[in-house]
Amino acid sequence: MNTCKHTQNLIDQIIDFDEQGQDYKVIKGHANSCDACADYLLVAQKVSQELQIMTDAEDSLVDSTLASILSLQENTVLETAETSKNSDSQNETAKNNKKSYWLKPQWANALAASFMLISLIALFPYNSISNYGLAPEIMETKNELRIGGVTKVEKEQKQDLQKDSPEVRFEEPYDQEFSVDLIEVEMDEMVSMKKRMMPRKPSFDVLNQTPAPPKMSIHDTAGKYLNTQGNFQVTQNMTSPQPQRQALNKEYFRENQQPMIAGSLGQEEINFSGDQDNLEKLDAVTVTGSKIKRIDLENVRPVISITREEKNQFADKGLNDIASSTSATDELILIEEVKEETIIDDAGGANDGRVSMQNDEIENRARDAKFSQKAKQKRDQIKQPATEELLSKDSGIVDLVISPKAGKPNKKEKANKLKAKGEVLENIISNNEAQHYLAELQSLENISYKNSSGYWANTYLPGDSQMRLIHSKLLQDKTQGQDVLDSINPNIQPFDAPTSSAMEVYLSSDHAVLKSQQPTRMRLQVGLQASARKGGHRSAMNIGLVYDSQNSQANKTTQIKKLKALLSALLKSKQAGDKISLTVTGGQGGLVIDSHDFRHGTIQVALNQLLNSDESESISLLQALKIATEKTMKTDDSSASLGSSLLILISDNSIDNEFNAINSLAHKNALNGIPMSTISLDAINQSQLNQLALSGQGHARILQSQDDAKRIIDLELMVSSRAVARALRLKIRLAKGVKLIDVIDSYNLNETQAQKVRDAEQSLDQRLSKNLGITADRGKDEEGIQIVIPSFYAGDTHVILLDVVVTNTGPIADVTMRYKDLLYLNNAVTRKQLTMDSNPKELGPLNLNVIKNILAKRFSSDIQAASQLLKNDNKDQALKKLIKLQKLYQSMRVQFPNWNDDAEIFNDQKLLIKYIKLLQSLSLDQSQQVSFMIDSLQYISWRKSTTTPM
Amino acid sequence: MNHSSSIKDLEERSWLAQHLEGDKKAFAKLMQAYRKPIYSYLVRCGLDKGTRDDLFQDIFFKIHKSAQQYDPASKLSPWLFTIAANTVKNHIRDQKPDQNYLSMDINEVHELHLVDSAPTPEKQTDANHSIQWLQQALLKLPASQAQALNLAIIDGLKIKEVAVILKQPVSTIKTHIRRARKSLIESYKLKHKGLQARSLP
Repeated sequence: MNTCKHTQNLIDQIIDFDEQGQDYKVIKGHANSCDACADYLLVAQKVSQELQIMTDAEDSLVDSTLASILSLQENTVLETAETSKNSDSQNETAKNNKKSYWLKPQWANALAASFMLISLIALFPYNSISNYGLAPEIMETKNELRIGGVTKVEKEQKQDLQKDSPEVRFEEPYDQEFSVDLIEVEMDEMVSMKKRMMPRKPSFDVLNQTPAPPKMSIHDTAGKYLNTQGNFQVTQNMTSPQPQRQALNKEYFRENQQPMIAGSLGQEEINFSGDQDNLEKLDAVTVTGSKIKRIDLENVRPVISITREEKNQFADKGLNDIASSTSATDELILIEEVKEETIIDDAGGANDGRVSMQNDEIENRARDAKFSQKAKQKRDQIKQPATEELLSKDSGIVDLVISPKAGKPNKKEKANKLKAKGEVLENIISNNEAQHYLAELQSLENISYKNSSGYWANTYLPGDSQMRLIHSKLLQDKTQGQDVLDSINPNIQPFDAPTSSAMEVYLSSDHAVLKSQQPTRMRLQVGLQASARKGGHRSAMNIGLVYDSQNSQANKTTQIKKLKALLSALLKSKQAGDKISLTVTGGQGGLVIDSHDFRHGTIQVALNQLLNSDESESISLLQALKIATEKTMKTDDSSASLGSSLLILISDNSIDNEFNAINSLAHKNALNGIPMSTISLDAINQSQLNQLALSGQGHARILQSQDDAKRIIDLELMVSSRAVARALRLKIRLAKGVKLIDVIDSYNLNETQAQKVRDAEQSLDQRLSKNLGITADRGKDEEGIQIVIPSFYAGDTHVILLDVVVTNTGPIADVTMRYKDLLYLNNAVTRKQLTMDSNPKELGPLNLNVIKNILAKRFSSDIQAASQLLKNDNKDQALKKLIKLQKLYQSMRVQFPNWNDDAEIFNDQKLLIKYIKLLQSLSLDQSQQVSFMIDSLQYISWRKSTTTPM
Repeated sequence: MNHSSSIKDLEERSWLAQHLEGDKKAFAKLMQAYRKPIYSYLVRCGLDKGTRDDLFQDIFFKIHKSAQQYDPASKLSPWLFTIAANTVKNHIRDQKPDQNYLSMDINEVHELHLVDSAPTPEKQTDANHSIQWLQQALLKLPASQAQALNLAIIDGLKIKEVAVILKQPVSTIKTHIRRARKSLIESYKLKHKGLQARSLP
């Protein structure tokens, strides 16, 4: 086909020229080299522009149209919609019966015209659209719109009144076919006009919460009926004005609600620091049960706490200022001895805290009334029971003082028990630990700088097979395992999912301001967010399975059963077009199932063969992989999407002799577009298999039991369809004067490793260019810190933290992300910059998010350390670690009052307290319990640090 | 579909139901959102001002009357423009052929929706000339092509939806659009050649 003709045809088809569209790119590609087509394109674009010019109707026309329609509604002249003979409405459904007008169209027009006239004369001043104007917000008219003769307010009130007065009857739903007496309608119109002019009094006693007796009754002779033919009746009360609801908002509650004292608490009161804020946010209840303080009502003394201004004062400061501030600490120290302690059921959860919080707020107000003005301004500090208090054993039940239980917080017996032990709550929570921690984060002593350029290791690793192993081990404990798994989640990142691309990047810092002329240590956070999208149909797969059966330590029969489970799961998930082959090692090894022969019968034969294999002339793993690679390459469809061809190594052996060679083969295959995943049937050689999966750009999985086979197979098959972006290249450039200390959890790659990354990136680039038409654009190194991520999956979030020192205000860093967008099939680029100045500013939510992520890293590393200490039978040190971490969390919540409402921080702290308690009661002799504790802590540590799903 | 347009679409679908329940703002919102697209559609159909205003009212009247037939599971704009297209078709069928002429009054252009900003006086004049030229060019098109193109350029209407409104296959609609645009491009070229010729010394 003549290219010019083809291009011009394409141009003729396009309505609006979307520069991101594939067609436009083709057109542009040709137009760049053909003047005639370029002219044609220009003219077509101009024509499109002119076609898009819109003309608006006059306001008066729109006003009058709306007025007449609304007046029609108001007068209950609803004509049945005629589906005209030529009606082409695509929304016609079978349930709508065709109705014919009872009025001829001409008469209907006349009727409509007369209504318009009436409405213009009588109603226009009261029901004008001119109030609406062109503003996006439609202003309210003064009058109520009547539908079916009943206003909306009346309808709502009627429904309320019905509860109290059975005498009030509802109008029946009106039928579509009815007739209306015009005179009655007009009269009604005059009447409703009069009513609108009458002053309205509430008949609903809002303050006393008692509804007025119903005024609308079918037997009410004072009322007037609209006598209509048809199926409905409308009652109107002519004598009494319509009840009007007051807007029930926060101000109303604040002014009118009577405070209630929970009787069960007796003389106890519960006070929460930060209540100043909470009072103003009725719906922003907290679950900060840790901020419990009890005050003896009889010995009430003025309480002191930090005021809102003081809190803001902290927020205004940069982190380095907070560490040096001492006055704040002094003011935070507080009061009283605790009279009673409410023991809270750990299972109560956040909801209990919420409910009790409302009661507590009410109690606070009652208490406020007794305090002086000065006392009201300053709230007392939260008083947290000492850790020793918490750890006191109580028949093995984990009782934690976290938050008051909803409605009935009183557990005096347990509180008295603690009291009887003579433990007095003495510790006063300050923010010392937080200040030390923040000072540590800001410290410029003994730091070394790294080169802020070159390739750095990718930290986005979806899934961790080791953790999957621990996950399944924990699940085996029926009593506590699930609790552990449910107790921890990674922090949710506040990144909006992109709407017009596959990926988005965010750049923020833990500082809001900089001190000019002074170096400031801070953390930069690069956030990556993938688009969420539904999983699509997967493409036909070309899979080469390799089973390593030689030298198996485990029972051969058991392992064969697991292999059988995997093969059965594959068989079930197999679709038309899938090609699956099986190569085995050992005696009688080699290709045992060909790719076109993957069926139940051949699988069974192959498995039998495996059971009875001898060790003569055995095939090594490397040989088996080479056979499988050759087979897969032969059947590979280079036009299929990346990941359709795949090698899967199934093994329960350690790989000693041939590991390096196999590793190189895995890498080479990945460059050729055939990734390799591994499935371990045992945990013996997990680290080796992990390494192979990494080199092969695949996934490492563990098959713990036969039941898990389907899940693993489904995951593996759907991987290629879950990816939304490939070959992500992050370039992070630091501004002049900004020095890099470290990229947290990552490391600088040496030249060999960097070359592998380049090769992998280029292979993806070429393959995607061939398969999907996304132009190949890689091959050059860039300046700054470079991180390459091979694939990013739908809905995933990832965070990269950089530890830097900044000396100047102004630009700090910029991050550019280039990637192959699999949703829009193009090369995409997104860029963000960060600049900072020294103008005073509060820490914003993004800054706090960065601090929270840094704290999560600390949480993760300390928990991991505790797990390791416990593994080394060092229980005391492990316990100390956890206690210190818990104190830090408590202190940080004081330091950042915004975290009072933070459920994640609260949950983390709750978890720490729980594990402190468990650890305290743990004996090292109980090996099973110790093992469980080690696994739990490891899992918690890992889960908190990862942002990707299991 | 991007996120913001999907939210707008969902909001639109609730307007008629709210109108039936008695929400007086709902129909006003609907009119506000669709007054320009529907009026522009009528302008592109080549109708004189009086007829346009009548049909404009008629269309919204019919929308109000047919409100109960609207299924919120479907998008609102195709349903509305089905009513609009049928109204125009019925009108043209009922009128004598010689009344369907263009009487474009430049002064009737009340607001121009241009991509960049409010038009300068020079731009306004140019735009008016453009509309006049466009009107004439559209009238010269066969009715089927003009109809297909008029609906296809409405923001939010897809080709498939246009095909449903006009009860024709998608491929036919595409052909109509292609031919219509080709004719308009040729017409535009001619117009500019004429302008250039006039401007030459």
